[in-house]
Amino acid sequence: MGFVIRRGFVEWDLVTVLPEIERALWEVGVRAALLRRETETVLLAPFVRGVDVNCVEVKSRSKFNVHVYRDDVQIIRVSPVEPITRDQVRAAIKHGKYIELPLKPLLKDLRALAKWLNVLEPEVTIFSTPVEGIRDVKSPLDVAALLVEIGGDESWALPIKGSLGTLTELVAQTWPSTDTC
Amino acid sequence: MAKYRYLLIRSADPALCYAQILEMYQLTGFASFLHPPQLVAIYNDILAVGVPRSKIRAVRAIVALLDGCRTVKVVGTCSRARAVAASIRRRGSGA
Repeated sequence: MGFVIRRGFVEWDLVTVLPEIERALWEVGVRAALLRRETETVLLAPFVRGVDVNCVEVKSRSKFNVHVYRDDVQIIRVSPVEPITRDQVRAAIKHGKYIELPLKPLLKDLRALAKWLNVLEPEVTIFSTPVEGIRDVKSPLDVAALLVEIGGDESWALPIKGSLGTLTELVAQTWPSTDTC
Repeated sequence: MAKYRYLLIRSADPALCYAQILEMYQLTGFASFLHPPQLVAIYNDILAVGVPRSKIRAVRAIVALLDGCRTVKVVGTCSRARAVAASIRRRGSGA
């Protein structure tokens, strides 16, 4: 397409897989995506929730503690309406879990986003934009710029810029158990 | 003389996108009065706009907030912006 690829990004929650959405994601530098179920993709490297990466979704803050101690969980997806506490983030760091924060409603409510950035730590956070249609496609670097501006700390760009590395690490953890050869 | 960089933004409605960027441009600080954004071109679904290099992060943050807009490329000169915008535009439905 005439673009120089320097680095790739990951879309952590691709809901609708359509060729034009994939093309739009490719154009902004996304090279891999985490899908809800097994679907054929044209451009992006597909990874599936629950198969390649173990994820759980917690609806409320109190349910978080149930999953943070479990060994088979890698990503805990939180509900964006209710920020978790600092202690819960510390527990996630201690047990090597990633916290997935969906950005979609938060981009409309920057005060809530700022509250989240206050408690979270860049090294254990994953930012997903649930992509349901072509309008939901965001440039990862735009989002990184916004996070740095709101969070006031350069390190907030890391979860976005290092997303491909994070995904590789997570997949490498699950594959030895399923690999038979 | 501030050095400008040129953002290529893909949007379903680039004119509206430019209007929204102008509306929020003062978020980039006092320098926004001295160095206003430069509109380079609107080709189908691509908006090419020049902003001072030091303000690029703030402008990209603004773009992240706009619905259906995404920065697809950043280039260094005005003529390059026009050329790339013309080559990556999509005729027809847009976005």
